[in-house]
Amino acid sequence: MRIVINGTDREVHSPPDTPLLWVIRDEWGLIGTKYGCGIGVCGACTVHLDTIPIRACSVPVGSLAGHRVTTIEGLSPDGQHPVQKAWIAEDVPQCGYCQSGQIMSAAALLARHPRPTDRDIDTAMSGNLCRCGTYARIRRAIHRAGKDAPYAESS
Amino acid sequence: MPNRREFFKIVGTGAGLLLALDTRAAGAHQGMRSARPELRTFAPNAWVRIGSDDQIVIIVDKSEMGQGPLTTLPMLVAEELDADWDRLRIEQAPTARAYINPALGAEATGGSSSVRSSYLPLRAAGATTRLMLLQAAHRRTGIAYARLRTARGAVLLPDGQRLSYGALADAAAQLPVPRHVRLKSPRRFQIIGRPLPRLDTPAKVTGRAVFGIDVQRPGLLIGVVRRPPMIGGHLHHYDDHVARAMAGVVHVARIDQGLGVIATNTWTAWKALDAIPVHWKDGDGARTSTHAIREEYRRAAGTEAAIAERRGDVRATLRHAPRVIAADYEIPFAAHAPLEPMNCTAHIHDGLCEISAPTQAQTGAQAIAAHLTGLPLDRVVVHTTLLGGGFGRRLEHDFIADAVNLARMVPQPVKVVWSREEDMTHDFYRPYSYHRVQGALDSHGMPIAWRQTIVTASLMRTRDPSAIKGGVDPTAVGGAVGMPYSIPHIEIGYVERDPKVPVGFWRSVADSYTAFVKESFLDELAHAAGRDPLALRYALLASEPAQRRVLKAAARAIGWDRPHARDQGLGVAVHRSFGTSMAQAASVSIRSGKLHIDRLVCVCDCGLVVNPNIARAQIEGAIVFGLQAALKGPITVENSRIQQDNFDSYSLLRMDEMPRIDVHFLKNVRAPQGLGEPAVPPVAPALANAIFVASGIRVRTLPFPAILSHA
Ligand code: FES
Ligand code: FES
Repeated sequence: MRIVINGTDREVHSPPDTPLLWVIRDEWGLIGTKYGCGIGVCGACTVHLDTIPIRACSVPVGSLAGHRVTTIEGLSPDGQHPVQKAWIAEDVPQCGYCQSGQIMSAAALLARHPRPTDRDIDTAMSGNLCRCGTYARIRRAIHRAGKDAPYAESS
Repeated sequence: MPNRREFFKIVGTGAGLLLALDTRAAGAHQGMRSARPELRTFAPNAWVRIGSDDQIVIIVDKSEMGQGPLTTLPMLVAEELDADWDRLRIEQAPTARAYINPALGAEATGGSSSVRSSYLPLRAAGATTRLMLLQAAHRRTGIAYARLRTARGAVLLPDGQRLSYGALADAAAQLPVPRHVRLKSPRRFQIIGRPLPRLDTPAKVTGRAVFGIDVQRPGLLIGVVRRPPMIGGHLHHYDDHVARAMAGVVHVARIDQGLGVIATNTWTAWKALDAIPVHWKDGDGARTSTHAIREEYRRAAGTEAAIAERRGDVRATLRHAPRVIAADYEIPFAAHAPLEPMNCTAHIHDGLCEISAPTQAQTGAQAIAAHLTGLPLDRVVVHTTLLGGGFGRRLEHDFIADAVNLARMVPQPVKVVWSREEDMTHDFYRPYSYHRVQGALDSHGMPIAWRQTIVTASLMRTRDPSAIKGGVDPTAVGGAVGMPYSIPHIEIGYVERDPKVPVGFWRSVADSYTAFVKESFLDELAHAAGRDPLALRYALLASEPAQRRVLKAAARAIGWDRPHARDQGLGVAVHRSFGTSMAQAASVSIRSGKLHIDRLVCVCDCGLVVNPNIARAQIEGAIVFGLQAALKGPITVENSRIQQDNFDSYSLLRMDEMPRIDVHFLKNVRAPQGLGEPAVPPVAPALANAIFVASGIRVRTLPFPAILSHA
């Protein structure tokens, strides 16, 4: 079977029950998408299926024939997606391990709601865990990317 | 083991510091010269390399686990070197003697020591390099030193001409390394103190950053492991005939007390592991449980303790005081749960063991690999990758051993990746602790005695028992000894008990529980005496100006004196750990028994702040870490099995649960102190004290109950 991954049509060799995550990482060598829990509760493996954010660890690749998958590597050709730029401006990452997933969730949110409210952010981002606690900066970066009115930052 | 004294001798002070640099550090990069013969390299010490092509390389000898050393440590070198910040190349250090952390006696990252222990050595490394480049320029031009200046990677001549460091590298490399060097006065800092963006951010927002789990090698195989589900258990029998027949499975073997599978990819390896029926056997000893441990510790709290600290005569005072208050506290096991699970890549070839790992402990990794392979230490090479969180978990080397053990079975490199379940059920947990505290008040309601017995595991028992003195493990009582409150009679006792659960260093170590007890019980004394908890702290901290200052600022920021609603409560906590004084103030409200955190304020005095951007992130992150442990968890044991095995049963704080957090730094030019850990300890007591004001409920166990009600 074939999947369009980051704009390129690719053959899948892994067995169909293989979670998309391990096809992305082990077969295609795209290491930006991370493994955190394997059960769909941490968000580290978030990628876009067409335009929807999904947990790649919990989707068997066999169910995805003909779909388009976008990983962090394919979000922008040059790392200059508005969300990535906002993440750099707010210097969001600490260890960085969760950040591919955070950025993919945020990009999907902003595609639906260009000016998300705090509540929209809570809803869209609560499935992405960050053990380093970068949440305040993630929120600011999302508002920044959405070119919202300046977020009332506390410092 | 060299200590800081051997590395550096402070030989005098002037406008700046004069340091003598130990030249043993020099030459750590000999033999690393470029393959390009025309390229000459000037490497006067273990942290700086300047090529004749003008490339300045700064070597970072601490692990990057989010706390920022890849940015902050080069800032220290670049400041004194007058390097061009935008044109540096940063490299992660290999294992070498020069990189031994004087604070830890090993090449390792922990104890909130990265900036503290590097502040003078790395500045001296930069200053020495600059001085040699100046000497080279002086020799070449004949111009007096006083008329030469340095800026942005070049020596500037009086006529405005620039001699780049690269152009001087070859000449400087011929000069002897000076023994004494003058450091800049902090007033002249141009890089230190600026909120510079992290150098690793671009790679971390594009998916290019390479963590241990991302290591790629030609022919790489994947290893997975399963350890006994019960603590102390071992593998009795297994049947691998189905697994071995699976396409992609390379090898199945016992390792350590469990089972390992090597396969061509991760999913196949896990499927094979799941296809192996395994019979585990209990360890010797009885099965343990949280309940049994609690009962044992509670009993132990009434036994005679080893004295960790004693001031005055507590026992007599408690007997005769007009008022005595007593309480028991308990703090649970907690998991590190870094988001990147344990992993390590090892390759044994040509009499060499090459390890690529997200480790906080390079020396330990090297030692365990040498031990397991029988190779001499210098045949074990440790490459440090980025770490997807550490928090103390990656000071251990069980995951290194897994990779080495499996790599011994195949000629190819093997990357061992633990499942989340393996990671969570085989952590070295923050030890459970039980505390019995008694306090006495005089007739004016002032505390006159404080007696505390701490029952908990000893971390040093299995690691370095020589650290245990007079029955007291200092890592078990940190933050309880050195009582800052001027209470005349104090006794802090320690009772060591082995919970038969693996325990380890967890972000802020003992302070994570001792601060909860100290700051909560002081509040109990204040309320019992009818005193304002803030005013009582001021009164008892007369000789602790730094703690008073942060406390005052936090109280002002939270609006301590402003009126508040009936269901609302304010609480404060102040604690010093890793050299840093930290006060936190919480504003909470309780509605239908549910806790709402309206705001948290943190005020910090950590000495000079090298990078305010990263420092603030560290505090924000540490507060979230402290909040998680106050609100969520715990890790529990039943039948000798850890009951939580993934983020569904051991949840982390989520975006929608984040309170508003305000962080303030007090200005200070004192040398930098610890920053990664000190914001964890005050979180829980500040909240517990606020909860008491809001509800009248005194919480003495963590995590807080989901519904706060008068039991
Ligand atoms: S790894 Fe997929 S949600 Fe955690
Ligand atoms: S930045 Fe470390 S887990 Fe999010």
